[in-house]
Amino acid sequence: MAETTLETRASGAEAAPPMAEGNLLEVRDLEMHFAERSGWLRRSRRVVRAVDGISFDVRAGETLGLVGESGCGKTTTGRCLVRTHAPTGGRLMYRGGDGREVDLAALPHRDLPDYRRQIRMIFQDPFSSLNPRMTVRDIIGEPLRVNGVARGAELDDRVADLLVRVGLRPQHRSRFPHAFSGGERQRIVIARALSLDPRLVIADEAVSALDVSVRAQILELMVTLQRERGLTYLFISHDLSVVEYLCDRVAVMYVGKVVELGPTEELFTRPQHPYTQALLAAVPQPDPTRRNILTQRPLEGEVADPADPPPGCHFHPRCPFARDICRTEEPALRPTADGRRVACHFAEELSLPGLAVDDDAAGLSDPEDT
Amino acid sequence: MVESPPPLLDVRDLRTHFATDTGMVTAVDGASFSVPRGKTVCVVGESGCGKSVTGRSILRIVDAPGRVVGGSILWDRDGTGDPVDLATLDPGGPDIRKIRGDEIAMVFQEPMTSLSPVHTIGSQIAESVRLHTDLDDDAVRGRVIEVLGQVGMPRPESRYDAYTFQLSGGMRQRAMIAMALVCHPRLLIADEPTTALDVTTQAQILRLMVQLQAEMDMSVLFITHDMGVVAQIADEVVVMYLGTVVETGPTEQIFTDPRHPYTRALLQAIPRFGQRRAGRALSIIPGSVPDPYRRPGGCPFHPRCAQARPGTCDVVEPATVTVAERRDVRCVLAAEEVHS
Repeated sequence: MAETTLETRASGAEAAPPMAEGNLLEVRDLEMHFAERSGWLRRSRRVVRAVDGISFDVRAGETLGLVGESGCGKTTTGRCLVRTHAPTGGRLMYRGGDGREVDLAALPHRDLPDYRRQIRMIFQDPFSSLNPRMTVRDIIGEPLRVNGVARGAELDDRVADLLVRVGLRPQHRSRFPHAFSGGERQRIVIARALSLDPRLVIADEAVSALDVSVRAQILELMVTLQRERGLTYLFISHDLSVVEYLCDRVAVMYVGKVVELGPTEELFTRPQHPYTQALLAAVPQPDPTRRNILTQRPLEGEVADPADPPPGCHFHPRCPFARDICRTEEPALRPTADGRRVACHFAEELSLPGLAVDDDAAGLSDPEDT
Repeated sequence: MVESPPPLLDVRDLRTHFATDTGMVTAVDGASFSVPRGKTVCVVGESGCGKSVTGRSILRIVDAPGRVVGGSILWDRDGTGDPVDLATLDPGGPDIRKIRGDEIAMVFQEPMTSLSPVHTIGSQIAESVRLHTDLDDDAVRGRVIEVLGQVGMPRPESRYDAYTFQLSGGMRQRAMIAMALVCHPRLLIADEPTTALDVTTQAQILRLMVQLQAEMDMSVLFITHDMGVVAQIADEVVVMYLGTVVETGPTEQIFTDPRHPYTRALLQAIPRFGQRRAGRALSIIPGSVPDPYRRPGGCPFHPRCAQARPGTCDVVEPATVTVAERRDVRCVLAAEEVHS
């Protein structure tokens, strides 16, 4: 399978409007299409619309969750933000540390290093994202050295300090990654991401490969670091319970589009898009008295092919509420009365059930008291 | 008390060890639990706790150099009280091969690696019917198409000739389940069958498994790391840590009244809806699961246990105590409660 970026974006697009106050990042109509060639002499060509015109804001200091099932484009979105992929369309307006507003999507390669210092990424698998032949000191120190931030003894101190911050012992800095457990490796990955004092951290399934007990440690570490350093997170995950715990706002994606965007609590208690509701209903609740999987009808069918999405609303073949208009007309992501944004023709008419607050969790009956 | 019928499967003090070049790994180190007839038992634990090796030990398909070195696996298919001890059978012999795939079947996590890419799914499922029955070709085909329909495969007649790469992840897992169920097993061992799937697909598969279990009146031993899945489908729970069973019991009791500190900590480490807004952080189990080569002495959980007692927990292996009917806990604290 050969994936090549379609034509590079048109240069000289009209000047972007100024960014809204308090926004660190404004994503506008972001598009990432891949041309896939296959068959005899690679003549057949199909276009995978991995990300197909999405818009959202990331506010300074918040945690924005990006959720959806595999193939929805959430990872591709993250990779566009660090410019691992050059987007085929749209704008990525970013307010830099110096207050300047730049379009990351159109930034020439020579200017990228500056912004790659400010926007860092944490990947899913701490076993493949660390070089097994480098010591922890080299892994964490490399970004500092490459960017000319620190050398020699100062570099060593910085590395030791970072290790302490993520809860590791600085004495272990000459060890190799294999000497650490999965959770410790993910701490090393986080220390490396933080080494250049980033402003935005993109965490792509950062806790998905970890065991439950270790996952809790890493989540609490991320919460603490955000508080201490005023970090902004874009938290990409398929795990809704973790997203609910960590995120201030959530964007739900389906086949390359954002279908709903809003504050976590509202989105989880009163979903307005049928897909959001179906996702919530499919999360197995850790409560044997509420067997939601067995009592609710699961969503039928499967995620559409992003190279050949159904016409109209991409979700209509699986949607229990679909009507004629859904099969022909694509709903725009539009604001609803309570300030959320939903891409559904019938968002106002539908009254969809969400999740109820877990009484135990809210502290109404504290298991430690008993 | 009315005497309950003997369990379908009774695992006692199971020990499965791997002799590797770097040392002995005690993957399963004295695990005991049982599976009642027609019930779903979930084995839950973190990576390295021995839950998968336990499942494989029952079918005697532990990969070399692993070996079942002790304990018994009593398989009482008909409830006669005269069980077969699977642990004593030759892993490659005719006796276990008659049971494997016929009376006890298994579903694995990754259908792409456990299904053959060069055979149609129909022919793969038919193979097990041919091995265990003497039906003719037409009857075999009919049986396969019937089971594909049962697992919710759309257009089963045409899917008979499909290859795995032509199916989605959810459909492949349905094909795996069809293969396991085609001979009407009494026990289905499912090792993380939904872990690689998306949540909406996972919900479909879980629902399907519960429905098929009731229809076919079989028992399910479901191996998972996800407490949410356990809460949804289990009748009874077996909690494992470092090759030992630390707690067993009915699902509701495990969730509302966990007795072992590990079970309690595990439950408090999962985010509950509304928890962060209520200002409650996740409870943290310090450290991580130890290296299998360096198992701590005494209770395997003591280095991470908030209630560990120096001089006791790091020295003596705790005994398993029965605190209520079908409710065992392997902890000195539970032992004291019972004795006082």
